[in-house]
Amino acid sequence: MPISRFIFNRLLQLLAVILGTVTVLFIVLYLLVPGDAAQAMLGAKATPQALENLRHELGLDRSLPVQYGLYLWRLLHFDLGTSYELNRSVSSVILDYLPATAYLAGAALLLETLAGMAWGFLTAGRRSTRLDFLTTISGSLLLSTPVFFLGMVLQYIFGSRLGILPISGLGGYNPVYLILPATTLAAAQAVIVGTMARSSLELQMARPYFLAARARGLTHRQALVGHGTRNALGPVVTLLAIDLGALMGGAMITEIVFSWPGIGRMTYYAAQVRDVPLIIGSVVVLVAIFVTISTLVDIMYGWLDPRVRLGAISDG
Amino acid sequence: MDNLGTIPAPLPASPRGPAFFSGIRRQANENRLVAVGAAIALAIIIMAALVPLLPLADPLKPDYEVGLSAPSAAHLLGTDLHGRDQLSRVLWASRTSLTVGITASLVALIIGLVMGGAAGYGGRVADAAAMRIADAFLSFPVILGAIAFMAVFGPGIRNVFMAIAFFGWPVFARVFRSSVLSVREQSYVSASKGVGGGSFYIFRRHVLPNSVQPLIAYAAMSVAGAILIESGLSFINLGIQRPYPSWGLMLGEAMGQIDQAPWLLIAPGAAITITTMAFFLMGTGLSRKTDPRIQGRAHS
Repeated sequence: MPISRFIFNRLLQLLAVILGTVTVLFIVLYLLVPGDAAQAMLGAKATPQALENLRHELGLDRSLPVQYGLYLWRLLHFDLGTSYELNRSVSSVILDYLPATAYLAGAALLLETLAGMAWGFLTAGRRSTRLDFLTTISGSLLLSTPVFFLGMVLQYIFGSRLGILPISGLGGYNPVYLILPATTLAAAQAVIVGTMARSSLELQMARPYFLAARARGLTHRQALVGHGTRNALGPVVTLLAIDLGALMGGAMITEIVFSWPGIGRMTYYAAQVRDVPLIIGSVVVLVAIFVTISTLVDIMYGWLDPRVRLGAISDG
Repeated sequence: MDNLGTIPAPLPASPRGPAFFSGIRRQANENRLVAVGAAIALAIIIMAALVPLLPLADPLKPDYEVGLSAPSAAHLLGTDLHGRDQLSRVLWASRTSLTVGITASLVALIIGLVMGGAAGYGGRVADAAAMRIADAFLSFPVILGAIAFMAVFGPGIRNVFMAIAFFGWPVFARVFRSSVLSVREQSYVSASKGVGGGSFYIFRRHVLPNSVQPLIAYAAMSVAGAILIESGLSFINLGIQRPYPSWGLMLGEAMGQIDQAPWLLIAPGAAITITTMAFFLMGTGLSRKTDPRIQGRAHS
């Protein structure tokens, strides 16, 4: 398949996923949630006349297909509606909170990459050893620890007991404030990255070129660093990219525990007061970021490795 | 240092060489994981079943005289802000978590069987349709979908089930589909076709029993993931509602009191971790798959 066709297909898929999400949200928002948007915005005490006017203004008195069209048209112009609670446009609220989340997610991604690669190098080729058993157990333990529990334990140890690290807030983007939340967020994912890095490295170690490198006199480590790593990175990078999107969304609980003023914590407050446009808006934005990143990585990967776009390697 | 011994032996292993023994050792390691996980999970399930028979304090009754008291003989794990016994609440909450985790996974499994079966056995159109839907669901994190679901439909245990099953089935569908695809090419399927077996008969008699096995590992993983999601949702007040005990909810209530009452963290936190890990070990041991999309699912 030529590269242009591959890119076109992936972009089409991206559009389909976003359109699908948006359509499901439209159905949920307009058909299943009791009471309409006008009622929710004006409250129970609104006069029938005011309700009527607002419904007309929002297009709620039109037929369903027209409403759907209007909704898509507004989305196309980044108009995600107005927050019931804050009385501001949803897109401006999201833009206010997005940088803090991106900052936290970026830091966590860096951390899990470093820790995961170290984990992979340490355990690759050591199946069925005592180290293997130990790392499997501790890895499962980390994967099973809920982020909020880990976060609160870290807060207690490093904040309440030792008093050496700040436990809440953004601290004006001071990196010290980043240490605990980023560690909390990265811990479980580092294990997943590590497991992936390990099996990917092991796959390369079994290849003939690796044996050839050893035969030319390279030590196991030299062959691994000089030859194996580069070939092993593909799946790891794909995983990391998928993960960046997941981090953007999954940061919610970490943000709540650490009072981090990001989009996740904002969505949490929106959910508490059932500010539907704000919830839907954040979900649309997060899903869009997530699928865009994974599509870009797929395209990049397909560009670098022709076997991917030929479908010779599934899923990578 | 010479590390030659660490190069994995190329497949297939000769039945008597060193690879044979390392194969056995590896099998034993993985069986050990499954055994440890299954034993812990079974112990937790039995304990949860016996909770009503145990001489425990009422998990819902407040007693403000003893609010936030440290662990003692009267309250082995201390009490929360409302003076409720922590031990009793943690034990009662195990019923909530296990019920949600197992039931939601079962529902997801059944939807996955239907969709994956249709995709793998129902022809090209059904395959394309079912897999595109599954891909759309797989294209964003479960926890995000679950949070949106709960935020829109409101909290409560029934919606927790629905949210987890609604976003959990695509993994089962994918695994079952690929399993069905390989089984339907087997010679016994052609043989059955040859002697005139009907398409549904063959599916029920041959394809289904031979394709469900890989799903068992994912079912165990899915229970672990569902327990984590339930506790996460309850932690942010979108899951199980007060005053009913749930581990996530208990940790959420403890959030403001870490300084005065750190014991409130330990029991529910350890309970979630141990229960999740038990099911997780079973799943990992049963299947060491590394499909990143599926591996990450339990957690993202």
